[in-house]
Amino acid sequence: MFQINQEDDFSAETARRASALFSEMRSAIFRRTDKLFACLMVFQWLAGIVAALLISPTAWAGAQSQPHIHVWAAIFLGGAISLVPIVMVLALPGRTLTRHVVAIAQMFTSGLLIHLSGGRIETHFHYFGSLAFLAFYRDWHVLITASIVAGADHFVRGEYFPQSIYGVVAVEPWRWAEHVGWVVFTDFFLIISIVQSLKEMSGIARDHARLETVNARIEQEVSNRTAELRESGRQLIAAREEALSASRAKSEFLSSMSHEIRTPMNAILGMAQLLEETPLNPDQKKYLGIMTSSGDALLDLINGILDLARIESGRLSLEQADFDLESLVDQTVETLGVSAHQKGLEMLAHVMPDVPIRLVGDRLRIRQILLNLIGNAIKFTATGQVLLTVERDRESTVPGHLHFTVADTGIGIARDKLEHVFASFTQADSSTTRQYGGSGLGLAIVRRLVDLMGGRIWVESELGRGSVFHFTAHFQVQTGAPDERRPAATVTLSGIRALVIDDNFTNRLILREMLSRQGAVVDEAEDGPTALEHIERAKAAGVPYKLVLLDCRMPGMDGFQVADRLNAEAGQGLTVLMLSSDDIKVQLTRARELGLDAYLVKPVTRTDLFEAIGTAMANRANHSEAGVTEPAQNATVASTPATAPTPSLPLRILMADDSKINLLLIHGYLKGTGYRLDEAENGEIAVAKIKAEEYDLVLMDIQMPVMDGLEATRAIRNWERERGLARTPIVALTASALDEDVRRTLEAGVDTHLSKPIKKALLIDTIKKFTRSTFALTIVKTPNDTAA
Amino acid sequence: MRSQILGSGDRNLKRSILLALGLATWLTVVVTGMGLLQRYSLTPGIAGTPGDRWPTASQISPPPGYFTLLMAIHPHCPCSRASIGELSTLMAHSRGRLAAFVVFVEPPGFGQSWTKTDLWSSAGLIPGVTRIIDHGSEAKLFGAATSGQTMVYDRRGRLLFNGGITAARGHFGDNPGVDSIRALIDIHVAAGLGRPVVHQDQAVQTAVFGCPLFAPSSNRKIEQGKCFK
Repeated sequence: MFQINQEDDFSAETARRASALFSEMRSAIFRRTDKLFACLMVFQWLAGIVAALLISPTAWAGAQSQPHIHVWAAIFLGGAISLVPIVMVLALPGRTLTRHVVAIAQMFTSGLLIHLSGGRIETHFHYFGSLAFLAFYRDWHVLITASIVAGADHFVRGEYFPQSIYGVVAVEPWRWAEHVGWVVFTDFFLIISIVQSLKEMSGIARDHARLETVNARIEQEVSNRTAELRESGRQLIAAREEALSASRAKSEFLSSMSHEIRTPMNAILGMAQLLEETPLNPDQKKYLGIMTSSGDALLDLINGILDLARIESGRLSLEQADFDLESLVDQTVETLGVSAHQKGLEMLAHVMPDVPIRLVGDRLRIRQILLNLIGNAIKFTATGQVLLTVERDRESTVPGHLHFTVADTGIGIARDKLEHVFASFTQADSSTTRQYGGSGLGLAIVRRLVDLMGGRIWVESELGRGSVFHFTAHFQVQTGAPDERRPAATVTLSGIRALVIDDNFTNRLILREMLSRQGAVVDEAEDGPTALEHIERAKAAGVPYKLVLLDCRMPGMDGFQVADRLNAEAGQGLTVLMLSSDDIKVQLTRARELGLDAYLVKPVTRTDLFEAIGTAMANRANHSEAGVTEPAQNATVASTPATAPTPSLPLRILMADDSKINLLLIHGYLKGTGYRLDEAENGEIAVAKIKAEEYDLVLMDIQMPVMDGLEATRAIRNWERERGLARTPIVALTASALDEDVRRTLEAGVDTHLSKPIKKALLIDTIKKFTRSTFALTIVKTPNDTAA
Repeated sequence: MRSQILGSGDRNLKRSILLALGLATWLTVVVTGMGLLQRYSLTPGIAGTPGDRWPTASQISPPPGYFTLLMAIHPHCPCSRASIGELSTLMAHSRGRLAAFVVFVEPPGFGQSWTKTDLWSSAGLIPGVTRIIDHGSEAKLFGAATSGQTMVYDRRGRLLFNGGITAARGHFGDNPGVDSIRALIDIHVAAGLGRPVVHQDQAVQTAVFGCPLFAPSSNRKIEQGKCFK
C-alpha cells in the first residue's frame, strides 16, 4: 500500500491529511467503479439473454421444438452470477469484499458468455476486457482474484472437461497453465499501470493536502486581517464621529467667532469711516488711515480663515449659475486697476478669441481667485505690468475647460519656495509678510477653490524676474445662448487705419486684436518717434491714420509729447485716445490741454474702449462739420471719485438691533441722507412697531434678546400675509459670514443679507436698491471691499 | 456501554457469517450451474447406425475418385452451427480429396423456407459441399439420428468414420472427429500411393452433439430441456 511520507516541509498533520485524502480518493474510485460494474453486470446479463435468444433460441427434435437450455441458462444462471455483485454494490459500495465478488462474478460471466457463444475464440477476449475493466478499481488485488478464478476454471475444465476448453479429450497436464500465463501477462501490465496510477494519486493527495494547508493558513490570515479591519473600521467610525463632532464644534466656534469679532469690527471700521468724514488734521488722518487699513487686514484674515475652514470641512459648495466671463474679467481688472495704477503698473487682461464667454459656474469664486492672484501680483510687483490671460485649456478638448494665467514682473519666488506657496499660512519668505503683509491664506484658499472647480494650479517663477501663476478650471458652456462677445458699442471701424503706440508688447497685442475684430487696419509703434514716422509715411502715401491709441508713459518720448507733435502735424482728421496708468488728476489736465479726444485709464475694457472711440470719433466728426477745433473737454474718464449720497425722497427706516453701538453707527451712516431712522431694541419691539407704523425698509439684526431677527422676520411676514399687505423690504445685518446662516435668514423671509462690518456705501446702495429711490450717486468699490 | 459494544460486535459477526454463507451459497449455485451447463454441452446425442457401405438405395451418388462425406443436419439445430463450422475447416484441410453432402432433414409438412436457414446458407458457402433437402428417407438410409452426424466413405464406398465433428454441443474448436477424419484421409491417400499403412477394420466412432433429426418415438429416449437426443 502506498504511504504518504513525511518530508521536511511536510508536517505530520499535512501527511495525515494527505493520507486521508488518498484514502478518500481511492474510496471514491472504488465506489464509482462498483457502480460501473453494477451497470455492466446488468448489461452483460441482458446481453447474455439476447445472445442466447439469437444463437440458440430453441432446441429441436424433428418437427418439435422447445426453448433451448441456453436461454434458461442465460436467464437464471446469468442472473445468479450478476445479482449478487449488484446487491453487494448497492449494500456495501466501496468495500474490498464487494470488488472481489465483482471480480469473481465477472470471470464467471466470461465463462457463461463463452459457453453461450459456442466457445467462439472471439468471446475469450471477454476475459481480457474484464481484467482491463477491473483495473479501473486501481486495486491490483482484484486482478489477482479474477486471475485465480480464471486459472481455476481452466484447471478444473482441463482436468474434467478438457474438450470444453481445449477441444481435445486428453490434454497436457500444464495446458491450463499456458492459458493462465496469458492472463498473467495481461495482469503484469495492468498492475504496473495501477501502481503508477496510485503513485500519481498519492502525489495529487500530497499536493492537495499542501494546498489545503496553505489555504487554511491564508483563510486564517484573512480572518485575522478581517478582524483587524473590522476593529480598524470601528475605530475609524469612532474617529469619524469624533471628527464630525469636532467639525461641528469648530463650525459653531467659527460662527461664534465670526459674530463676536465682526460685531466690534463693525463698530470700529464704521466709526473710523464716519470719523474720516469729519475735519481732521494730517496726523489724525494718518492715524485713522492706519486704523482703517489694519481693520481691513484683520477682516481679510478672518474672511480667509472662514473660507479655508469651510472648504476644508467640505461645507463650501460651488454655485452653478450663468455668467459672462468677459464681464467678469473686466470687472475684476477694473477693481484692481486702481491699485495697479497707484503703483504705476500696467494692468492688462486678455481673453483669447476662442474662449467661450457664456459659461455656467461659480462667478463669485472665480472672481475671488482672480482677485487674489492679481492682488498678489500687484502687491509683489514694483514696476512693470500685471497681465491676466484667459485661454482654452490645451490639454483638454472640452470647450469649458479654461486656462487662466496671471503674470507679473515682480520680485518672483525662489525655486525652492515654489512648492510651498500654496500651503496655508505660508509665504515664500517670512520677511515677505513683514514687507508686504498678508496672512498667507489667500493662495491656500485659491488652491482649494481650483480643486473644487476640477482644475489645478501651479506657478512658474524666477527670482527678480516675476511670476506666472497658472490655473485651470472646468465650466459648462451655456446651452442655447450664442457665444458672442458683448457688443463693442456701435462702433464700426471697418477699413479705418489705426495706429497703436505703446512700448508694451502685450498691450499692443491686446489693442491690436480689439481693433482688428471691429474691422480696423492696425499698425503698431513701440515708441513715439517710430509712431510719428508711421503717421507721416501714411499721410504721404495718401492713406492717413484716422485713429491713434496712445500710451501715456513711454521711454524717451512720452505720450503727451507724441500728442503734442500730432496736434501740430496731424490735423483734424486724427482721433487720438490716450491710455494711462498714472495719476489721473495731473494727466487729465494735460490731456485736456492737448485736446486729446479721450483719456482712458488702464486696464481698458472692450466696452470702455469702443464707447470712448465711438464718442471721440463722433465728436471729432461734429467739430469738423462745425469747423471748430477745441479740446475735448468731456474726455471720457473711466473712473470717477465717489460722491456723497443725496436721497431723492425721505424714507422711514426701522432698525432692530440690541447693540447701542451699531445703532449709533447706522445713525451716523444715514446722517444727512434725510432718512428717518427708528430704533427697536429687539425683534418683539420691531414687530410691534411694524404693526403700528408704516416703514419703507427694515434693517434687522439677527442675534437679539427676547426675539431674534429670524423670528421677528417670520412674524412680520406672517402678519403681512394675513393682512394682504405688500412686503416691507427687510435687510438682515449679521455678524456671521457662514453660508448656512445666510441661507437661514433668506428662508426666514429677509430680502437680502449684509455681513458686518457694514460699509457705508454698501448700506446706502442696498437701501437704494430696495426702496427704488433714485440717488445721484456713484459707488465705486475700492480694492479693500473685495480683495480676499 | 460494554454490552452495547459486545452487541454491536455480535451483530457484525453475525452479519459476516451470513455474508460468508451467502457468498458460499452463491458460489455453489454458480459453480453448479456452470457444471450442469458443461455437462449438458458434453452429453452426446443418439449415435446413429449407418451401414458399412454407402447405401445402394440412396439417391445420392458419391462422386467417383473422392472420399465422400455426408452430414445430416437439422435445419434449426443451434448446436449444428459448430458442426458446419468444423466442416468448413475440414473441407479446407482436405485440399480437394473430399466431396461432401450436407443433407438437411425436412420434416413432412414443412416447406423449403423452413429448411433454408442460416445453416443452409453457411453450408452453401463451403467449397465442395453439396446441399440436399431430404424428407427423412436419405437420413434414415444412412442411419443418421442426430443433427451433425457425419459419415465418411472411402473411394469404394466403405464407411471410414461415423460420429460428430465437434467437441461438445455447439462448441467450436479442436475435436476428435475432425482429427480422425483428417487422419483417415491421410492414411488412405498414403495407402493409394503404396505407402505402408495400418488399416482399421472398424469405422472410427465419435460422439455426436446435436438435436435429434426425428421426432421422439417410443423406441427413442428423450431428455427434455436439452437438444433432443
